[in-house]
Amino acid sequence: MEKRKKRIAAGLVFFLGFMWVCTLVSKSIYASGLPMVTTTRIDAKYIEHVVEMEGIVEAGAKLPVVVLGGLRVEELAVHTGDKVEKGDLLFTVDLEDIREKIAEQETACQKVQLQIDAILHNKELAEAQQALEEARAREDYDALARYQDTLVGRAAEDVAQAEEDLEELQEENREHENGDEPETEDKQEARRQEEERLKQQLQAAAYAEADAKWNRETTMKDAGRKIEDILLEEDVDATLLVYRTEVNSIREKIAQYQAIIDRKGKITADISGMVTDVYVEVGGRVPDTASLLLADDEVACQFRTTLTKEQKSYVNLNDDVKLELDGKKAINVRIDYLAENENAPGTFTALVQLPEDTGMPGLSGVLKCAKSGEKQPCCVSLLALHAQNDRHFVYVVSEREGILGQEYYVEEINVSVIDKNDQWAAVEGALTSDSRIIASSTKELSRGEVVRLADP
Amino acid sequence: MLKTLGQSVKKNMTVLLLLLPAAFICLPVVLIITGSVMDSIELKQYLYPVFSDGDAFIRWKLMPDYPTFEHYGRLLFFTPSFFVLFWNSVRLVIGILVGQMIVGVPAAWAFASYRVRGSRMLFVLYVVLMLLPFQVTMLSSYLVLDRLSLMNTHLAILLPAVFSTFPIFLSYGGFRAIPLQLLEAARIDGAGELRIFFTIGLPLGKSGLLSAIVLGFLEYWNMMEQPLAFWEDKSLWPLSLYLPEISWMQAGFALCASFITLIPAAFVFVLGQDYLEQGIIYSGLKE
Repeated sequence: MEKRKKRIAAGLVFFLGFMWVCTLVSKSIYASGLPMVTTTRIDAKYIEHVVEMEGIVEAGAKLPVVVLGGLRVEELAVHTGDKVEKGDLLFTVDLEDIREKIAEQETACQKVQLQIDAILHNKELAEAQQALEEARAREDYDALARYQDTLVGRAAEDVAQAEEDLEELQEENREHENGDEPETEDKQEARRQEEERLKQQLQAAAYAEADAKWNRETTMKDAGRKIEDILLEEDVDATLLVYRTEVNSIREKIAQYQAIIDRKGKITADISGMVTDVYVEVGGRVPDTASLLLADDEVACQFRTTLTKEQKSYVNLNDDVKLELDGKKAINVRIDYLAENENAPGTFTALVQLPEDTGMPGLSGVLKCAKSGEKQPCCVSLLALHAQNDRHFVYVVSEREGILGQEYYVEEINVSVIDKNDQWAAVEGALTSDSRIIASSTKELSRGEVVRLADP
Repeated sequence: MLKTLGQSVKKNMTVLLLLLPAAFICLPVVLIITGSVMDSIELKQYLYPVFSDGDAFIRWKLMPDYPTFEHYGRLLFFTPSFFVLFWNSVRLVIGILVGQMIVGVPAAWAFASYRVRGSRMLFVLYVVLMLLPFQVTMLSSYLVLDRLSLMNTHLAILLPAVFSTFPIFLSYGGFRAIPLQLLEAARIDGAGELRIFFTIGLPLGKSGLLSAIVLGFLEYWNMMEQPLAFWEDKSLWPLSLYLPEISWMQAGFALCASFITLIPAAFVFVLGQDYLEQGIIYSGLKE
């Protein structure tokens, strides 16, 4: 073979060798880019719903420790979670501060007392004034009565005099009329005129008497009313009562302060229990409300947990459930309370009354509730179930012949979920027992994508 | 002197006139090579009339403005399917050529060196069969292959190609050029028929064999109809069917694949060019 042909043949061989290397490289790049998937098959299973709810133990009853507000805390002997017995020291208040407060209260008490004294004095003065006014009014009344009686008597005398004058005249007139000697017309006329005058005088006297009587009645009524007005009681005034109540209150407070001083400023527990809340701090003032909250040992604790809407569908009131407290052995308990949270709609609060001497406030635990449904013929692992919007689907490995030979590719099969728990889902769809459902993948998958099986 | 000058000018003019159509014929190869190193955007710009179904001609530049080897990198390092088809073609062509040598060469030797009654008629029949295009024999081949359950197998392509009459015809020309007296002398000297075939026939008729190999390689390297007709499985396809799989939107990639596809054929052609010419001469020899 001539040299030129040898070179050409060598070139061809080199080209084929180069193509072989490129084949290796491209195949390795292609293979490294393939998602590696593990597959599973459908299985018949009972879908057991195990609902696990984390929660916390709370005190069954909390009792407040209420101390006189405003005291300065000198020393705090307990913290949240501390167990205390009846009589144990909770905290100590500053005695000097209490003494200052007592002094303040006494000053306030004195002020109020002075106010009371002033009111009482004023009241006495007012009563004396009233008595004086009453005596004067009565005196005026009597004088006026006498004067009015005199006036009425005078008017009555005038009437009597007028009647007497008229009767005398009329007697004279009758004597003259029955007399033997006839009188002149002028005289008769004069007698008639005189009689007429006396009649008018009598009438005027009668009127004056009536006026005097009416005047006396009116005047006496006014005078009587004046006395009545004086005798009327004054408006009700509660000021004195208020001041006295205030004084009592201050004295009571002083007594309480004194009692604390007698105890050397020590505030102790009234019951045995655990401190659940502390609202005071050293150097701070004691609030008017509770200083501490104590969980009563006499009352059993309760376990509180929050459920989602889905969890709620598997848990009902009075269900028997298991409770693991702090990783210890599970105990059987019952759901005693189950209601939707007002503050967080869609979530539910469950309460479990714990047996006596079980748990302590603050202890965390897990409430477990298991419920099995019917046996489902077509169940897939939740890892294999995918969801997009409201659609559920699984990826299934199918085989096809491509240029690279037999290859596995991803098919998307829509399914409807009948039931599911945290591991398995019962589904309906075009799945058979031969379907190789993708359970996991090294990369995100998409429909039609070529994959490599980790478990061929 | 003037006569010599005139002859020289005339000769140069003739060469120039002949080179122009030769250059024109070479344009597709130039287009493939320059297009394969052309940026996709630039390529789309030049080939816009093709994509828009317009009546305008495409534009082209011998030197791309934005040359790139992106298509080569993608084809050679990120397209394993190309290599599957490439090696399919290599295997298929080698298989066919080896089969043709095993089957066709002895047949051609028999036709050329043995005078048997009816052999000439039989050879004429072979030539007639050779003249039949694939489209004519496709249906009968399909029926036979289907009956033999060979569809979608390598044998569906290999068997008809191995028993092709064309290499027999070409080899026959090479063997026919060997004088019969030489064969007679060998027989008188005690050489057996196999020895005559291997020691005299093959060395002296190798021009015909090699031309059959070269022509066969070029034919089967570019084979399209048979794989399309008999193979459904794409993993069996040869490289010649890879290009139709590429959309024209990836013109640069397609041109790059075309260029790579061209290389083995070019090697084989250059390597067997002399034998090819010899074979064509043999095929034109009178009986």
